[in-house]
Amino acid sequence: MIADAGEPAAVAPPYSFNVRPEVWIPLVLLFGALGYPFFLLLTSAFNVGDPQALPAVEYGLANFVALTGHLDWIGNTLLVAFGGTALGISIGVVLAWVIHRTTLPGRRLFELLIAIPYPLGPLVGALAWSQLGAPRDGLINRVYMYMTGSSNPLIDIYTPLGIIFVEAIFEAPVAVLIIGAAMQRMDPALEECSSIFGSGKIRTAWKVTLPLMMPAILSAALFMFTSMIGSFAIPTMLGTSSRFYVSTNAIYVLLQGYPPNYPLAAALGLVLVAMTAVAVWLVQRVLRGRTYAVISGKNYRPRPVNMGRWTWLLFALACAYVLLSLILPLGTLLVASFQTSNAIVFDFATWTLRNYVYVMFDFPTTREAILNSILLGIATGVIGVACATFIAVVTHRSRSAGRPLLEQVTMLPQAFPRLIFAFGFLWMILTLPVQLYGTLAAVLLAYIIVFLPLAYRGMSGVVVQIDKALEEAARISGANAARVARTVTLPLLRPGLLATGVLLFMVSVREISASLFLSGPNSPVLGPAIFSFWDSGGMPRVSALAVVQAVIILIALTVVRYLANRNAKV
Amino acid sequence: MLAANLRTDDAVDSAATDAAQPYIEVRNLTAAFDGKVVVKDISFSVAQGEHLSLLGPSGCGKSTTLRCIAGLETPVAGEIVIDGIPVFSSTKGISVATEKRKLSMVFQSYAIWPHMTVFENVAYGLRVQGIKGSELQQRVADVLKMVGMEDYISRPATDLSGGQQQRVALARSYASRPKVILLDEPLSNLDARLRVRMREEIKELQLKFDLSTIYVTHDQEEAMAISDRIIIMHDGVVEQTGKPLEIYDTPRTRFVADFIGAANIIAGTAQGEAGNGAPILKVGEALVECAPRSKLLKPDGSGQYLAAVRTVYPEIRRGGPDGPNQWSATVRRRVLLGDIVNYTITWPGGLLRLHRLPSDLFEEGETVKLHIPASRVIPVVAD
Repeated sequence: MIADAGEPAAVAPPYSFNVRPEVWIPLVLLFGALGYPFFLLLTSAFNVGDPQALPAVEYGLANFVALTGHLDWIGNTLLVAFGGTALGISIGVVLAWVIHRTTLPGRRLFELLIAIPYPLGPLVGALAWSQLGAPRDGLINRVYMYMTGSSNPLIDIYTPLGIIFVEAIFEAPVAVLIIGAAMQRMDPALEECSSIFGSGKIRTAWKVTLPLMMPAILSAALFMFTSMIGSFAIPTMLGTSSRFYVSTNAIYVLLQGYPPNYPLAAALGLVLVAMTAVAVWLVQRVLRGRTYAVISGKNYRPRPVNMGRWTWLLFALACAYVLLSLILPLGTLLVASFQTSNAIVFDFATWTLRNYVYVMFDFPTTREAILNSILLGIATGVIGVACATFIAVVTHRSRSAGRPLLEQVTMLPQAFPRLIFAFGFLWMILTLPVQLYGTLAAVLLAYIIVFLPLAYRGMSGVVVQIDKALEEAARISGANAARVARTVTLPLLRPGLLATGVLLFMVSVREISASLFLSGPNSPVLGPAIFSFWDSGGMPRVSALAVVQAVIILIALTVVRYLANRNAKV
Repeated sequence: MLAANLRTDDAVDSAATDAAQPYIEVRNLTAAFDGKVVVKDISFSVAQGEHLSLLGPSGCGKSTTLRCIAGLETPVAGEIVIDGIPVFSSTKGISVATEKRKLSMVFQSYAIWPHMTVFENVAYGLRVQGIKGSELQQRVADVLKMVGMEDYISRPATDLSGGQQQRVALARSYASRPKVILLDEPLSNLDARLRVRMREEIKELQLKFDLSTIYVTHDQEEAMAISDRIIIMHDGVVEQTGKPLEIYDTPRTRFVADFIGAANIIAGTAQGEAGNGAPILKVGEALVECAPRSKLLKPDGSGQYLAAVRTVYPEIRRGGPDGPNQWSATVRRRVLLGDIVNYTITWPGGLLRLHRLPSDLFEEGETVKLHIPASRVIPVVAD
């Protein structure tokens, strides 16, 4: 674990370019695990011969030319990603402001509740909103039409706007987190200075606070944009009925068709990768040199602003968010899971728990999916955190050259839409001599890789806070590397290890994009199971399954919360 | 009686001339960070029981030197010998791991393990040595008592104030009864009052245990107060080595004169020699005789020779006889600082700053007689 705690090492020659094993071994592994699937995707995208051939026999640009006939897929992807990001960031900025900088009543409770929709995930969101906002029988429209007597629905969630809305409310918690963290690090003197010069609250917020928040806002926007470009569940569940295709579900259709059109799907996947790469590059370019220029690492206690008569508007906004992203969706799923048919009736006498019995016990596929997902979540948590911790310790503690490269490569999967990565990864394991296809091990491997950036970010933040002198003091006291790791490093890392582990558990349990192609009939997992249940109809049962997933995630969230509180007390 | 006295003197002399084997020896040490050389070919030694300070501004390489001795950094070249055993040698390819060097160290951040109690912190090194049971309890209790922390033995380490953490850090490093202790800016995070008290305690413990000590600091007052010997470092090289007063009174370079205490640097051209052979410097209109047996050293870029005059040594009085190194001067500015008074005076050599006691005040504008004793004009190397 301790990168530089080696035995009497050979003396380094002066100023050499010295890449040590703790850097190059993970680098080679990561390059292989990311590069090979990408290479396969690349060759297939340019394959104009036999579509099933791998490697391709004939190369050309025909697939990309064919894509020009489907520009709507790419256009829709961009529409959803830009629209969703814009709406999500707006929600994020307002909510972060409300939580961290105002005197709004119930701020702490809001902070807690606003975080929940993200781990619940897009599947829960899409399923719930399809029952809430469907034009004819959606609950909201039924209530509206009942109350007003109108025969026209109030909302239609099966539209691009509906998709953007659901994407935005379920990704917004990330923006709240990133922007909120920056708000807490901001030196309030910068704002106070502006007020002293006579600027009003609104002017100060607009002219000083917002520009200072720009780096955080851009980072959050990038995160949302890349994740929306690759999102699958929401556009598929809400867009398919109106034949609104984005790139991800177009790829899914191309692959599920007979015969599957691998080259066209690969070309479309490449376009998606290119779009995220451009977004990453642009944001980095804008952020270069100004990321933390005015925001110190220290936590200030920024002065909360009393928003006066705006307080109640903000309070209403926060309540509306919690209602739309948490209470209504979970409530709808719960109610739907008690039904005997797709139509929701509010006659308690007909409500039943049969759907739960069915998905948890009677139906083997979902029963196994639940167990598999829990197992996968635990394994991803443990192994993912172990890998991330190793890399974080190396990048922060090792003296080896090449550490910045290792960090960049570790973060690289973030720029890969997970569905596309899984598609390339599937091909890779088909070409490997080991029989991995259709096993949980394949899904586990893919999860570890796609969630590595998330885990690394978490662990890196923990490792960087541990004073190196704490380990050095132990070595001076005569402890060898193993003893230092056991008695000092690991105990200090433990809170971070647990928190990051549980986070990985949650995102694994709710994942669908990465496991859709990889979980075979003998290794069902929750995300794809919910999706195929939805595909084959039966709202009550799919709702019950989604509720089970949500409960697992909520339990994990409670554990995180409990651990964080316990650590805060120590 | 007389013979006995002579013998004692002899013994003292031979110890002072380092006839005994030095406990730590550093030879031609060079260290680099990310390809940038931060310590350039430095050599020094520490005798048994000696307190040596590495003093210099931040970035001078003093901490890196200390960390090389501890084995926390790997030097590029050189040799380090501790108690006769080479622990690092670039030519012989030796590099003994930190944990096997049998050192103890106090860190700037104290490095108190936050997940352990005070007892656990102090017991750590003893446990590594295999000490258990009642002996462990006893030794931890003893060493905590020594630093006045016996009442805190079962407290979590995070409950301690800065000064208390510092005491625990000291206790931890003394617990294993080391022969050498390395201290890396141990007091820089404490407030001024506590700093003075702690440095006295450190000195007492050092004497009590006859510890060889290497003490890294950027605070000249601290170094002067507790060191037997000081090494002044600047840009990775040793500027000067010597006893505290030696360095104060006879700085070798302009950097040392500026860094230690307050000094006027006067610049002039060589103007022959005085009767005793001391060089004479022409500073502005004034002919200034330098310290006896001194020589003018390397001049600066414009060919001017430099000499340092500590602000405490020039004397001013109202009238008096003329003589060498005496001039008529005018008080330009007076600043009362309480214990001392700062004067800026105009003399034929330009401007001079000096310190006096508040007992005898001179007025601004007053004409005075300035005397710079020749023995206090120290030629220095221009850097």
